[in-house]
Amino acid sequence: MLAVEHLTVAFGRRPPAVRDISFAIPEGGRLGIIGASGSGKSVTALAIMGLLPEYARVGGSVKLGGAELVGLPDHEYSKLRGDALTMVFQEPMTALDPTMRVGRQIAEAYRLHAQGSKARDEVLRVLAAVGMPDPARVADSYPHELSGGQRQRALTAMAVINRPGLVVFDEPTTALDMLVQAQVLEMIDGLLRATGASCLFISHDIAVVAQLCAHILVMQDGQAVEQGETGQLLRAPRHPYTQALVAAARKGAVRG
Amino acid sequence: MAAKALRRLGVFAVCLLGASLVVFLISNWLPGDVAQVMLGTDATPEALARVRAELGLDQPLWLRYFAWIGGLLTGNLGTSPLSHYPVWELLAPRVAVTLWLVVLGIGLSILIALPLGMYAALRRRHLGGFAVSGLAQIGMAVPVFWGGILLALVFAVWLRWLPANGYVPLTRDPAGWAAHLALPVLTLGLVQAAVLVRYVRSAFVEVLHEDYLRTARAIGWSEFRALLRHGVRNAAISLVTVVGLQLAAALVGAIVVEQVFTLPGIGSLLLDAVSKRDLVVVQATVMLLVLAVLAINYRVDVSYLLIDPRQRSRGAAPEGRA
Repeated sequence: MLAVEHLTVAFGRRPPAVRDISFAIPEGGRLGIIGASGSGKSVTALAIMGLLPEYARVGGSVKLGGAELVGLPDHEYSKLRGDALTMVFQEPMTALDPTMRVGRQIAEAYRLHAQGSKARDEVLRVLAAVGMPDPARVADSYPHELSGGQRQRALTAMAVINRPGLVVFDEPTTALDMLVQAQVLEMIDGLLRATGASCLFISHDIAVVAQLCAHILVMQDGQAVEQGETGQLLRAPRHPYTQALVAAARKGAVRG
Repeated sequence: MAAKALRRLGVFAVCLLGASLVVFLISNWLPGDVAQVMLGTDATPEALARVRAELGLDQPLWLRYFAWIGGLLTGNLGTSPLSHYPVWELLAPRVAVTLWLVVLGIGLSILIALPLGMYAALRRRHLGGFAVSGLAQIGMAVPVFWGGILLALVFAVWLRWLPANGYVPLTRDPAGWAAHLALPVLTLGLVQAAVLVRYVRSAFVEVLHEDYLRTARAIGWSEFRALLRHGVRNAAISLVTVVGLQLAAALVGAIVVEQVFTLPGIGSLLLDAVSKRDLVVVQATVMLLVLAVLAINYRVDVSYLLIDPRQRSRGAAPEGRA
């Protein structure tokens, strides 16, 4: 489904933010990328989405369903974004346009890629699918009238309304409190299961990633230091950084 | 929302009252008076005293203030002691001229600045963006009167396309009206646009960095379409303030432009009345300008409520920002 090979991203004359990353996600597969902030995991996600600033230099290859994305002109890329591949961002508070009703923003994602007049029905369907108890009310609300968890659900609804093959999540639950975080993760899990979409899930929290993803890639300083099947990686981490992460997560779990 | 608009109307009235006091006191502090102008420098003190008594200038200041305010509230602006015309008859035709100049000038400046500013924001790392910013800087440094003279030189003196001065009312000769207003409007519009471009550019640069614009890109909008769809309205929230200030500044700029192109607007009326100490005309004209500026600010405040849903529900609904 998604094949990333030797991906390298550099900004200006600074050393590359991402260096020689390779991974693959099969149809319906889920890969989690973990690492500290600044490790290059968000840059990797933006590179896949083609949303890096124009002065970024991207090397290597990103293939979606066999088609090369690196070097694709923006108007071609725009047709794929929101349809074949989509992304859910970290900050639910600022990721929605404050001057537009939520339902209209979600409907936009639908109308950009599909013809037909049933946008409203689709919006209500997808809002129900992301676990909104009152889709009609949410659709007619402005972003500031919703809670953080509701906004993150609305953003997820926007991302999945066109049944994309790949959804990229960039720390979707980091800004939420623990209880809401658990609910949103559960919703994402169910949604991916129902649609069969592949998923790239980015987080600094190994426990969150382990809950959702069958495979994990660990990044440090722009490089992949370890990747493997989730259970294996948690049981027997090889790289010192991974070992430290797993140990810290264990401690947190015992304490929590 | 209605209560909020009403409260702003109250503030508006208080401001107007305060302004009337300031206008009245300052104009009465001016040395010399209209009696002196009427009778000349060699008038006897007795004659001056008689004229002052006729005009009511010998009464205490506070009595004159209340007489004036009372007149304003009942719609009576007074009569010019020099020309013996009611002030309203002097003002009305001139208000029309200034209003056309300001409204068309600001309209033109928005038409120029909005696309240029958006372009400069989108191409801010390219030559085109730098060129627009640089041109705006140069434009800002040009004084209104100099820009006006330059335009008159090119279009009226060299090319002879347009008249350099004078005015014809719209109702008498639409083509002549347009020809006479063209250069003044162009002058005011260009000068205002140079200032506005910078604000438009920075408003859109700010919006380009917003998360919701990245979201819009992630669902498939191109950068330009995302900016049109989600940027304009959000940029407008900060631009409304600037345009309001520009409108107030354009009223002052219009006075200068009217002098350059000898347009019979408020500006020339005001300057003439000040030099002759025709305080009745001065006060009425300045109050009209104050009223205009306050009305603009009031409109700006109300348009926030129209553009930004967060302002509408502030206090009425929880902010939801945890």
